[in-house]
Amino acid sequence: MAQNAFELKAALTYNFAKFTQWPEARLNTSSAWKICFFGNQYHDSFMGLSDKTLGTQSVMAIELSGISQIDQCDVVFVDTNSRELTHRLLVAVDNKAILTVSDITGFAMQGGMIEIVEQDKRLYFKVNMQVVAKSGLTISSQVLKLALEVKR
Amino acid sequence: MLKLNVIFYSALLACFATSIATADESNSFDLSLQELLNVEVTSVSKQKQPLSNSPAAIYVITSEHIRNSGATSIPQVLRDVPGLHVGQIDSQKWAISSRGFNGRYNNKLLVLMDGRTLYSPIFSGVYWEVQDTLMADIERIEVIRGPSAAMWGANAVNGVINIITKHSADTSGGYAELGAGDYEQGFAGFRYGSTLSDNATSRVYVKGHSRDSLEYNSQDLDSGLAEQLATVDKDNDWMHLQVGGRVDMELDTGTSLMLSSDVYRTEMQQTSYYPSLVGPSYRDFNSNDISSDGFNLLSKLTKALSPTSQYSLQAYYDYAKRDDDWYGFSSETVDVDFQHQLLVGQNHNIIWGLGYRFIQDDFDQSTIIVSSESESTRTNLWSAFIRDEITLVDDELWLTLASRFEHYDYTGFEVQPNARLMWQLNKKNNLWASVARAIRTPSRIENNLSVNSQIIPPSVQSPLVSIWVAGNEDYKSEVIISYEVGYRFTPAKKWSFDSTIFYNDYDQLRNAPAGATDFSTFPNYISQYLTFSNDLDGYNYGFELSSQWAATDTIQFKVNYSFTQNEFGVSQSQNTDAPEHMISTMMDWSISDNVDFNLVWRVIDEAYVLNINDLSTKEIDSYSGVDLGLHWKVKPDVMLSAFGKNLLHPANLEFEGESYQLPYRVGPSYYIKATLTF
Repeated sequence: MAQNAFELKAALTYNFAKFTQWPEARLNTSSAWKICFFGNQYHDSFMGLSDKTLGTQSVMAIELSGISQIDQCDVVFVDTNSRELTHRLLVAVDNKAILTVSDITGFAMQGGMIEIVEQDKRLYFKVNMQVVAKSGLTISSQVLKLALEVKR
Repeated sequence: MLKLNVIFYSALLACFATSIATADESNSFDLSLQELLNVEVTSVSKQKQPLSNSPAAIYVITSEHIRNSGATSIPQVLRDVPGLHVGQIDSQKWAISSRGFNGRYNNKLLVLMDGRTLYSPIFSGVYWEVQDTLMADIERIEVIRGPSAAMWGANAVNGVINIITKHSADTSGGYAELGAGDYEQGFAGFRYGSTLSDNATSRVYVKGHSRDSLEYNSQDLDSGLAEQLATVDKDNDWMHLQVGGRVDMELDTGTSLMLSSDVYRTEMQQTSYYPSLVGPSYRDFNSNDISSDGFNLLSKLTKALSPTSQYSLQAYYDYAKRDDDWYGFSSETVDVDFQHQLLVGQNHNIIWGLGYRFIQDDFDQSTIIVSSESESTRTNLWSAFIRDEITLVDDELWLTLASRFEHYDYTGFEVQPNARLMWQLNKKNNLWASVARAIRTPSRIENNLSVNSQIIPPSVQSPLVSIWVAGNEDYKSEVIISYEVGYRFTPAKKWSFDSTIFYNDYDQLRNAPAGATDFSTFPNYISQYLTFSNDLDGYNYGFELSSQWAATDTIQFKVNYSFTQNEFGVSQSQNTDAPEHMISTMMDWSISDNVDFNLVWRVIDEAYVLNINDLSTKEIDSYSGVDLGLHWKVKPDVMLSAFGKNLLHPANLEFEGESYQLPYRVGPSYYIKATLTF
């Protein structure tokens, strides 16, 4: 079975959110889960999330045009063409309970949480636990077990 | 010819435009994490490049296009961009322009690589033969037509070409390429990228090539000159070797440092003819090996201060040296540039910056080019700019106001303002408009050098006259005021159109009226000086279109077209006229998972070149040509490619250099290439 990379990366992002333990405060808020993304070519793939749920709440996919819109998001996906945004993005999410996912090479090393890596036609991922821990999020050990690399 | 071309094009469409339905409709969101990691990633299906949403005539050459084209150096990949005229002069030399004014020393196009200017301060132009990097390490090339001097600085009059190389994290591991053919006698490139530490990546590369001479045909010169040249060697072969590298470091959250450096040496064979006081031909002929060397070192620090504020500080040193047969020069440039971007409130996206550039050059004069100042000169350029992108209506209407303020030693204080408006009518329609003023600053040759352009042999009425084109300390900047309107239309997912119309009004253009006459050497000869002045003006207007059609998941078409009308009246001391029509049709076809095929068919209308000796213009015939590329991925890490360039048309002149150089014809050529990643 084969699938295009855009859809797989959107689906991975959704799965990472599913296996993340969110702070009490967030869980007690009754609003939809906002999965945000940068990169117009991902539009159709992320919009496919709109009929999904996480726990009891529905999921909403939002295409961002600027870093200043980031505070509303629970999850942010940044595509590899938006590398120049990462400086301000990482400052914007610093110590906040926002899960950051990207296929930018070196994203996890730079201070992002989860980096998606493509190797030999398969997708893998790396996790930077230092950043995750600081943000107040917890990523399930089921996920960490499958990671290519975990930075602790 | 045109009719034939239409038939050819229709046949192409008929052959390949068969629709293939997408097979896989299953939903990845229903898969578990484990299952997702086991799914094979298909090669991304053909998608049209997303249209830019900036209010400028911008065209992006992607790394995929660079790879498909097989281009082994930068000028080759600039062909087929709408509005750009690329003419090869000989094996090593190119003339590249946007919207007219093409020439070996086209002075109205600014070219940058990773923020470092590649524009020569001595001749105002780009020595394309020494601007290089490993093509596989280029992330993209942005071509902005029209003036964008407010952002990029002086000389961005008719366009800016921004060459952006990949982040070193994106070039990890080994890469090697090797190829050979007829014109491309041999080329090789090697890169290795590695992780230096937890927060630093790097790469080093080396590349080199050897290219054969282009074909000389005596019919391309007037018969007298051709006869005199009969016994002169006309080789114009070229060898280039370059090494370089880059390091990217993450210093802190939101702070990064980039260092890059390149060193090159290029060796060329060149045949020239110069004015001489000695009869009977009153010309000297030379066929020599010439060389050029260069080195640069660049660092750029980028730091985000907050989610809405970020600055960058860039500094570079650039050394370039050229030993030509009739002059030599070296230049050292030190450039420091600071930029700060900040979002103010909901509606203002501001960038401002300060820059300083110091250039020290050293000029070796000869009998035909002399300096009225000391051989070594120093110039200083100070600049400041501010740009505010104002959101007038959310997601719908934006106004950008910008201006640059510069102080240059030759011309003093200059202002280059720009206003742009962008209106996103809906998801499918997007309109923009711009008014901009930009300047082209004088080069050293226009300020304080004199060039012996012509000898008029003695006659009964007159002694021998030696004509010199002389620099002028009071020579001012040339000025453009440009009006542009752009329209982008995406009628369906698979189609897009990007079009621009422009009107450029030029003032204070260069001419060289008769000045002083020097009789001191009478009766042997007299010298007549033609002194640079800013007396000319003119305008041009035109239309550019870039259209894309992702016909199926595996086949994509692109058509780029430009039309230019030139209205410059009297004969000018620079070549003002762009080809009226230029059209390139491109097809990319993934025949199977492992085989790709690319085709380009281009037609370039008559072009004009300037004979600097008597300011006459010569017409270069229109031509067409076909480029083919076939790529076979033998294994995931091995690719074999075969290329044919300028096919289906006999060898033809594309362009002629404007000074002392011979014309050469560009003909069909072939080469093969192997690429290995490890």
